[in-house]
Amino acid sequence: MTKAYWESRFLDYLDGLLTKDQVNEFESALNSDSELRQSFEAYQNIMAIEQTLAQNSLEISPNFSVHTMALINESQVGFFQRLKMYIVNSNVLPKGVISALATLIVVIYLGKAQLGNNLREEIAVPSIANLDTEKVVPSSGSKPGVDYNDERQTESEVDKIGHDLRDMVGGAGLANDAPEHQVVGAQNGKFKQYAVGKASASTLRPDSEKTAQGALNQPKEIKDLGWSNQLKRAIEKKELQVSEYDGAGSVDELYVPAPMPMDRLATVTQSTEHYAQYVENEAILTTNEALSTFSLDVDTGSYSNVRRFLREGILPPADSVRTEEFINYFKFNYQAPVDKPFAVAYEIAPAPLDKDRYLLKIGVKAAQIRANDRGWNLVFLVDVSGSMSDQNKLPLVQKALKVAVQNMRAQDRIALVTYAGQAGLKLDSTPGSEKDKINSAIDSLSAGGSTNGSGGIELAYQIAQKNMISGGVNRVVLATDGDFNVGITSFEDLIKLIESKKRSGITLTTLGFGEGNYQEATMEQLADKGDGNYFYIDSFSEARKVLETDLVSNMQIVAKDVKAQIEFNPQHVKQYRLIGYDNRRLNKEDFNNDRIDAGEIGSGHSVTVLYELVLTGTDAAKNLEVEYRYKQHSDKTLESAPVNLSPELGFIKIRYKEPQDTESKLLTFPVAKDSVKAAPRMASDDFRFVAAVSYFGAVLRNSQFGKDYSLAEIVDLAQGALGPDLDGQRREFVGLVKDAMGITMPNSNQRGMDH
Amino acid sequence: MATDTKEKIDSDAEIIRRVLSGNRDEFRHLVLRYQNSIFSLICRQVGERSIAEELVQEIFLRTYTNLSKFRFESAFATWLTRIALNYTNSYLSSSRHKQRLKSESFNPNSHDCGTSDSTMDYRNSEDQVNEFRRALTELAPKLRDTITLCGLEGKSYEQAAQILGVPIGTVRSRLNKARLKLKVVLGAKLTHGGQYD
Repeated sequence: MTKAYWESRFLDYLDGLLTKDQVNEFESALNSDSELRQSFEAYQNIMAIEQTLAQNSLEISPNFSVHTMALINESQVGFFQRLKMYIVNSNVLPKGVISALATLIVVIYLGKAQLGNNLREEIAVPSIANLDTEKVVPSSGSKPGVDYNDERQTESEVDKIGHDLRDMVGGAGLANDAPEHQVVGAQNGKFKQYAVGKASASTLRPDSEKTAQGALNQPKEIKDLGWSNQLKRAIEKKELQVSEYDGAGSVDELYVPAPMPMDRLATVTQSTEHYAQYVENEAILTTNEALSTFSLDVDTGSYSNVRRFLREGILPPADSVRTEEFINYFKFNYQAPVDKPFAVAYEIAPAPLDKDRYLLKIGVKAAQIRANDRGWNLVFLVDVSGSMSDQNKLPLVQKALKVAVQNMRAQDRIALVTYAGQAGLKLDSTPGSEKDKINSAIDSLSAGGSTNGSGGIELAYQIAQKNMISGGVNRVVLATDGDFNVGITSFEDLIKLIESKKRSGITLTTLGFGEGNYQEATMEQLADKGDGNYFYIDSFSEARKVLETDLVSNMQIVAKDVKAQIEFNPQHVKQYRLIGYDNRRLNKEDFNNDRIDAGEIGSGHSVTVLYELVLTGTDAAKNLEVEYRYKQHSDKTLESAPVNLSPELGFIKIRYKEPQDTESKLLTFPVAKDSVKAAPRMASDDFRFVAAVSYFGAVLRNSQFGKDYSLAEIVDLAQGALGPDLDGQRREFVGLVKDAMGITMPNSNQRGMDH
Repeated sequence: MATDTKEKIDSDAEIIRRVLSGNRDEFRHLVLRYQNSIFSLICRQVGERSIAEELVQEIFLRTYTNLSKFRFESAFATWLTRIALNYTNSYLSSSRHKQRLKSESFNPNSHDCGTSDSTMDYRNSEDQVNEFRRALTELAPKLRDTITLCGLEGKSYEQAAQILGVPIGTVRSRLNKARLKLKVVLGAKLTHGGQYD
């Protein structure tokens, strides 16, 4: 008998299941075969270790059951969310009651979230093997346990499981025995799948599950939607992940409309939503071009628009993702300037997820202008076409407007113009003190009716012109779901009008609502031309953020035509890449050209810019070395670089105009070489968080620079960089990344094993 | 996890019926009743308290969510253990776990789950025990489940067979195979590094 044979009988020997002859044979083999003896001794040692481990009785933390029950109860919040949505959206109750209710529900919700927080860390649970996939070979009584050949974990078994997985994708649960678990394609390492403690919520959110599942059942559509290739690949290869939809707990969630059924979304997304394609900023060798020039801007619409997609359980089209708008959605801790319109802060440290690369985070913080002396002259131009009747459109516009009205002062004026349904002027320019009058005009807005041919936008500008507040903020605010039938037929004429009005001091801000024929590119472009901002409003809380905070600060413009130019020192920086700002590039000569239009920065606002750098002397830099046959001029510049500039890694220049000026001013800030931090963990929470945001943008955008990031890494990174997160926006971000993980992973499977 | 007392099975079933009829908070009794046994099972498999707690919580959440699928044919404890093992296996094969293995956050020397100096068998060095733990997490799920139940949890072959849904012979063959595998993985440590003689 061979050693292998006897090894297979070790347990039988120890359990006394061998016959007397077999025992004798085994024991003599032990004596004669030292290898077998060693093996048996080691086997017994394993058993001894087992004994050691088995001796301890283990007890879970004392409050475990309390936390767990809190989570289970929290899963019921889904119901309250819906109730809340219903109440908010259906104006059935007076406003005071709604806000009281909202507060109450938020308090309850937060209380619960707090309780569960400690244990709500996510858990990754891809599964390869399930017990019931095995073939059970009954062993006969006399020779129990000899037949263990059937136990082999082979490649084909993994395949089989993959196959099972595909079968299950259809959503059919197998047996009703063991509860579902989450399954990931066996080889899939890229997107990990996470479950949050709130897993049981899935049963209460059937539509979201359906949405995710629908996404999977329609691979063709997925292709057409221009989804991120990584995710497409995952779907095509059936490297599927199953996750229960995670609505990561944030207060915002309370205001989010219930997800739409997939079939509608799919159609809608395919047909009419339009996003401009942007070419990503390339990585540039400093020796080829040391200057990076772009327009500084603080739009944030892309983030909330993408959030809408993710919350509805679908991936956003790659072109809807603009990383700089993601980054600038978040508040970072910057010092306010003293005696200057801007302060600049920068931080540089190794990139958390990229070996050998560095990130340079530049924060530009605008001064806070006291608002008291300047009045606002606002004209809201509201789209009331039939498509606006959805709950997340006109009703949300109305609520948003009321938020703006709340903040208006006696010296402010507001007017209301409608288009595409009802005739023109709803409310002539009215002082901010007459809130009742303004609110009742807002209430009287209703969607529907035939298209009115008269020029809504011209009327809006007329009223703005008539009520111009000199030195104040004069602005038309366009609120629409994407219908630009504003009375001017050609887009060029519209742009011309906006530009000419801008010159006379009236700016244009665009507020996007809803989905469907949403024209984000146009919205952004119009705001750009009108020297205003573009916001996408997907929820009441977003409306509040924009109209209470952002709109106000954006109205108090500190500077206009703000451009940034960063010059990198080739002595230290081998290569740089501007992250985001893909459609805000300027030519280097535009920087000093005051006729070139650029971004506006509002009072107290900050803009964050992120660069990825390869520093000289690193391995990454060596890989970028270019061999020149002929000595390049850049090398000469390098050699002749003044020694006293060598402590500088780069040089930040900001050019801007005072709001009333036509001539620009320049501010400069050197970036010190010795400020480079040694490790990501030595950088601030802000730094690491902004890195996580940019990585997420890169993944969603299917960026060529985002191939190596996994969403799980991003979650980890962001979670370790939440900081105080007073407004909960960073936690919400973590939730969104998890949502993105969940999207490729429809449904969960049930593997029956109850015999 | 006693499954042999008739009374207990009945009362589990009773609790479940109450939960299913809308009395959600009754589930608390099931959590309290089984949290430690499930926790010890999971802790032995994953080797880290904090991870085990997360997993146990998720397991109870899943159990709660899927309670309506319980058929009252087997003991609740058996069903729950099965869920726990399945879920833990999926965690152990996850890339998150693998990353943890590589990273410093996985501390193989922690006394987290199980051992302390006072209970350490004189024959087993701490090193061996930790190596054993690590090797256990890398074992094929079926083998790991079997050795956890029979070797570490002290379940009878029959109990293990019930939980795993396989015949006793299969349990025994897997147990033997699991030990042989561990022996190979720990080979050097057992023969040269250990104090065994």
